[in-house]
Amino acid sequence: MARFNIDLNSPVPAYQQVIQAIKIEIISGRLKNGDRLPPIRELAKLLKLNPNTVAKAYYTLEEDGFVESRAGSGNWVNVRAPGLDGLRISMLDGETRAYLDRALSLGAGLDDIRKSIERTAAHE
Amino acid sequence: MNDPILEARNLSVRFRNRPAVDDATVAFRRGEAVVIAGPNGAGKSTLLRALAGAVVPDRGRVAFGRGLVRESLGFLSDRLSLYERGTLEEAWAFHRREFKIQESRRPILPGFDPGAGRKIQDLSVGERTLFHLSLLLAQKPAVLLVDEVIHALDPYLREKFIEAVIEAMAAHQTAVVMVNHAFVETAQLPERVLIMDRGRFILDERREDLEKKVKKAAAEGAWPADIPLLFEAESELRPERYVYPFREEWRGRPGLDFKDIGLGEIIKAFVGGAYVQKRTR
Repeated sequence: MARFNIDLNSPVPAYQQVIQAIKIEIISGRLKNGDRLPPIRELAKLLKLNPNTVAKAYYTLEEDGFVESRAGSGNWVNVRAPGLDGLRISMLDGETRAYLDRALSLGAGLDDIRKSIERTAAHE
Repeated sequence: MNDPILEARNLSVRFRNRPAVDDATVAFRRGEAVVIAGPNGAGKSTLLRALAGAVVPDRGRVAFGRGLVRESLGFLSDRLSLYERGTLEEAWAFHRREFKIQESRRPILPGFDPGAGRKIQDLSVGERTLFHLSLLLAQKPAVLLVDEVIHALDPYLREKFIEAVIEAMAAHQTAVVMVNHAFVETAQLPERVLIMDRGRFILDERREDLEKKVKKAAAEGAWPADIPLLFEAESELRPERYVYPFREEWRGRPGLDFKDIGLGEIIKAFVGGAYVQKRTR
């Protein structure tokens, strides 16, 4: 959970930020199936969030098939199908959409953008 | 569980013949965190004091729901009166008797152990606030009313303060009612936002809904008359415009741009709007 960060001034609701952060932990492999999520109370204190907000994030993650809640023993990572690959692609699409919006607002065309990505990637 | 734990019904409090709280009605529920914001002098602190029983209302009444008794109502105010020359241990003993708390519930906030022999007068303003909070938390509060105290805390104590409140919410389903938008910047606690102006509530919304309904807007050319402005602040470069209530269908309109903003800025817009109305009245 070391990378967890919530931007309190962001217009993105905090529970969505928590969901996003946990999904990133899962995609990157830092959280694996069978790992236990931090207790709601502890994560709320760490991130300075309302415990209800963390509970709502966990509940949504469960509904979406990433987390399993076990009565009395907390919340555990349990990614069900379609699982990781689908999640990785949908998050990548989200990042791309945000980037495209910004790039297009500079007046660039799709061709310019494609070339810019290739040029930049060549330097990586 | 969903019945109100604490209510104000048509509450009015007058100070020197001026209404500080004017026919205010509001209900709070177990486990929710609410922020009351508004311009200075709107009646926020007076309302809180009336809810806490520290001020007798001229009209209307305060009603306790099931599960709330005097001993489980915590009120944290900046007009804290602890016996200056007493020790922390004496303050704890007094508080314990007053609120019928078992000795085993001795406050556990680190750094504020009553047994350390310190005196109240040796504490800084911020430390007193935290010590007072630790006494209130020993009451296992069903409701915690927090007046504007957080600005007196340095960043370290502020963090300790927030953590202790979160702990109480998780442990006792405490309803937290806070007067101060500094809470909004320090932590994402409130799920519900109340705004007061001239002794009345002018807004009572779930935070999530409010964030959808208030947008910052930019327009090329004249402002369209059909889109309601909450507040418009003149600036040399461009006017800062805030729209409320916002409708999604306006997003596609040419020449208009709407931006999502966080709760801190939303509250600022409402408070600004209250001042503008005052000038034009």
